[in-house]
Amino acid sequence: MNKQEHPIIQAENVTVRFPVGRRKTLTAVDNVSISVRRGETFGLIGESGSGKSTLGRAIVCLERPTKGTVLHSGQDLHTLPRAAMRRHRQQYQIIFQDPAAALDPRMTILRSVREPLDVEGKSSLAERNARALEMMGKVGLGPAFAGLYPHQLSGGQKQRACIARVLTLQPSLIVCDEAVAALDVSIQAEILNLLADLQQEFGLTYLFITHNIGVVEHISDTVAVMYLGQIIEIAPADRLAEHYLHPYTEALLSAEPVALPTAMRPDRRILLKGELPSPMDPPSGCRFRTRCRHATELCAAQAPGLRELAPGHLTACHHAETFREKTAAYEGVS
Amino acid sequence: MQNQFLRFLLWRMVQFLPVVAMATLTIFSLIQLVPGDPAATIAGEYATAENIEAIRHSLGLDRPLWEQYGIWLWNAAQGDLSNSLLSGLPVMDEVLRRLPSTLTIAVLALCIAVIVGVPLGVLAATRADTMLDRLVTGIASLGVAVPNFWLGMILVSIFALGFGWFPTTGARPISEDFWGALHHAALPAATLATGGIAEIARQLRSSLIEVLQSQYVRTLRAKGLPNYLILWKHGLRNAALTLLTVIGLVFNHMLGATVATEAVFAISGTGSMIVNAAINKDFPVVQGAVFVLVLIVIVMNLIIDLFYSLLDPRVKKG
Amino acid sequence: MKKPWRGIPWTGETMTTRTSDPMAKPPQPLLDVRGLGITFSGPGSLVPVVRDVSLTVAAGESVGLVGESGCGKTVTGLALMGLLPFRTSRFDGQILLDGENLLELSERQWRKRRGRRIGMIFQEPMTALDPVFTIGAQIGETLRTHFRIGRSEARERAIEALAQVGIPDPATRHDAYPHELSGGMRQRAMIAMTISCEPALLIADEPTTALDVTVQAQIMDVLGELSARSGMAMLFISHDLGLVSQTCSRIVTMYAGEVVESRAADDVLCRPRHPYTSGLLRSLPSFTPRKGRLPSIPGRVPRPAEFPNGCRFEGRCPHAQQQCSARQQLQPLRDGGFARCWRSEELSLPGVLS
Ligand SMILES: Nc1ncnc2c1ncn2[C@@H]1O[C@H](COP(=O)(O)OP(=O)(O)O)[C@@H](O)[C@H]1O
Ligand SMILES: Nc1ncnc2c1ncn2[C@@H]1O[C@H](COP(=O)(O)OP(=O)(O)O)[C@@H](O)[C@H]1O
Ligand code: SF4
Ligand code: SF4
Ligand SMILES: [Mg+2]
Ligand SMILES: [Mg+2]
Repeated sequence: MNKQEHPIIQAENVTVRFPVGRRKTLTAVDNVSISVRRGETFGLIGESGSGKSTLGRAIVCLERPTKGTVLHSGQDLHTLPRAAMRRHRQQYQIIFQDPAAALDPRMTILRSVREPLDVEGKSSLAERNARALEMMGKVGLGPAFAGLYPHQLSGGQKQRACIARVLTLQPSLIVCDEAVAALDVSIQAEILNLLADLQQEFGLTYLFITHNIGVVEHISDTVAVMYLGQIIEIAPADRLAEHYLHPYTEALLSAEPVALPTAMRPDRRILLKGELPSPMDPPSGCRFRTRCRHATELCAAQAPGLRELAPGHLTACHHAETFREKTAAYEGVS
Repeated sequence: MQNQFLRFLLWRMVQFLPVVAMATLTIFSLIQLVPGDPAATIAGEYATAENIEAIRHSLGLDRPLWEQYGIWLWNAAQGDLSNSLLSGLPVMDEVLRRLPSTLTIAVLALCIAVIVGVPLGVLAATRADTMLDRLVTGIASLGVAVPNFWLGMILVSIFALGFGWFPTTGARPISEDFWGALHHAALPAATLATGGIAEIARQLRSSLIEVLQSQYVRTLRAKGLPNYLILWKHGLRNAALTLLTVIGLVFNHMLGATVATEAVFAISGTGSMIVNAAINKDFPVVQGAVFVLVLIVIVMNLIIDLFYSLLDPRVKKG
Repeated sequence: MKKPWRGIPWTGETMTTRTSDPMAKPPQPLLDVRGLGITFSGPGSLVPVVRDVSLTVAAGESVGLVGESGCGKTVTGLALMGLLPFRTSRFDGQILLDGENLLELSERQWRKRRGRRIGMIFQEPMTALDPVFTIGAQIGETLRTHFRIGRSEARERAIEALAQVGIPDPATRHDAYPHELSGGMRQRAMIAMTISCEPALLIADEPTTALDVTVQAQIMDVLGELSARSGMAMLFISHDLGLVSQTCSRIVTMYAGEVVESRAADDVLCRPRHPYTSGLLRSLPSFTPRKGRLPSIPGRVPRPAEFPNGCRFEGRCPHAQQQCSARQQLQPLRDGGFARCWRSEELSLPGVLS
């Protein structure tokens, strides 16, 4: 089959477990299957500890799935010889929340941006410098920044440098793990615009991990919601806000603060009870049932699988079709 | 709870076994490197080759090294450190006889170091970057740098020879004459303590400064807590881990430094015992005495480990 | 405008009322900050980080303090608590709490009010509690600093405070160490500690920034309930305009160490009067069609040493003109608010509704 016909990422039943202590394991990602199309932005949201970063790391081959496979354009990179795997892996890059930690404080920005090329060691210094400067230009850091050190840059500029750095390797997919979470809104807006521009120019695919629903809805094509290591809902981004089909998504959406005047504000918010259960000892049946106000006996007995209720819209809830009526009833009463 | 604690204790001791093995093996190997043949020493100047060979055989020195070590370790585990080559007396008895004077100096020195070092460290930390702080840190660096034997001689010439407040040399057994023993131990202990005072003051200062800049101290101030409580209750309690670690290190160092100090003050403790034995190539004595000191250090570390878990709830038991 | 209420049924009748009648004469405010200036002195240098900050908080009122990071929100909050280092800070203006100027108090007098009259909670729930004492001990200690009570009463009241902030099984949690609690629980414990002495004013410095939205919603619920029940006033510091607009009846915007706008929350949201506030609002992704270009504010907050003499926002302002290079004063507006921009009445700036 032609390479282009495969989704760029096809994760099939990926499970990632970590050993914790003696003879105990923690299932950070549990039997997750997603498929990311070339050129799209795939958003991943969920509370911290739900396994978003681990899934992201598995997708860029920084974590080997305990079970299941991640196919990159139809190919399982873990089965390749080491050198070939390294070569392929370069196409899948990741940027993190804290750009300061990703840049060596003793290196100039140019050197930091160039570093992946230095490691690769395939071209001359002049070529590498030229390429690094070009990418810095693409992210809006002019040549004047080349000789500066990270502490002389603002948070937004540092994140730009990090983006330039992964761009030098000409990736086809970038995992953005909370890449704008630490930035002020106006800087966040700039970086989001930049990411959109770069996507246009280089045909990039993003896996966009965040806990900010406003952001994920804005830039994504598809959004997946994670809870305790599982994906509980996948929907086209423009559907999610209005047509969500999972009680957890509903709670997440309602918890997000919106800047609206009193008269336009939804007057009641759904408060989730309790805290995220430990991934070492998840509840039986539906994992959300300990905090779900629509839970029934069925939910404790049987784990709901993902069902496609609308084109491209999957949800894992036994009562997906009916719970929103009940919510409406609750709201009417209280 | 009780049970859990005992298990923790036992587990810690088991963890120390490899340390003991490593330490004794190191001593054993080092001693092999020292030039000279103990059998020849015992046999005397005019011994024949057969004579020496016979002695060597009777001492087991002709066996392979690892076997010698094994035998020694096996005996040591049962409390038998074999006999001195020179006197023929059991090493254990000799070590136990001399240990009290050494421990008296070391423990007294530790007490002095803590009693003087802690307030100095606190003072320096609360007055960080003032003249007083610089004075304390300056003196502290000096205290670390000054060699012990030199300081010992200075102290002797001032306080023993000059003022006559303390005896110049010798020791009293602490079991018979408590105050006399302390009186005799005062100068050597003070000598030993200087390095410790400096180290404790320095480390406590930097640890406290870090604590005082932490977020939770800001919270404490936001609660309206008076400064003395912030410093002496929360500050010291949070710096306690560092303090404890330093105390352990200082004590280990002091035990080692007794060798020189005992020589200066002519005290017949384990330190001078090791020095004499080494000069005479009386290997079992060196090995036995060092072994006992290592054991003491290890027990001390064990105690400190126990304190860790008492002081800091985050240190998991077991 | 899109997706304002995300499909959650909205019943207009039970709408919470947050804005008070603008015509009613305001009572004497609990906190009245007048022209507060904060200057840090380093070796051979004076850095004025905050200038001319004026704001009021009435008893029982919640006021939001917003702005990008580096605008001086935390420094202002710490100054209100008297927590800035006295040796290296210089203050101008007045901080009146119940009419009494805190800046004239001795450290000893100030300490009596700290924790008792004004409390403060911080952003970092992970590091803001002493790790080697149980949370109960830390709450009890606060109580015993301000009230003459015994240990057992302190324990009772600490447990009661823990219950008030919604910590399940408070008697057990009383003896837990901070590291044994999750971030959300720790922030609750922190709140319990602060409200145990029933302060009249709570300064909350980004109390939920480090937490998940679901936990944030729980914490905000607790704070809202506490202030409703006990009449505790709140100065809520945050960079999140959504959060602030949900919690506060008035919003004070800070930029580069100055207050640039100070008005009723709904007025600010619908019709901001300072280009900076408007810029902040418009850069939120919710107000731009999906995948559209997000408006942003070019440049960044100047450092205190680089503050311009005129309008401090001039370098980033799309409406800047010649006159903007003159120093701007906080001017009263027709709607009762204030803005620090000479064009504020004339400009029609987009808010959340345009
Ligand atoms: N290397 C690791 N070892 C053990 N546990 C881990 C490791 N990495 C992550 N975890 C655990 O896996 C779960 C998911 O973590 P993570 O993927 O970081 O979640 P998220 O990014 O959604 O916050 C968490 O409970 C975390 O503690
Ligand atoms: N102790 C200090 N000494 C000197 N400058 C400081 C100090 N603390 C904060 N600042 C400066 O004051 C300004 C305001 O900081 P801050 O109040 O933390 O802003 P915000 O809370 O709005 O993010 C920043 O430019 C910061 O660098
Ligand atoms: S399956 Fe049951 S418990 Fe799970 S989300 Fe649906 S209603 Fe709630
Ligand atoms: S004074 Fe001028 S530069 Fe400043 S905010 Fe107003 S219009 Fe913009
Ligand atoms: Mg993560
Ligand atoms: Mg701040």
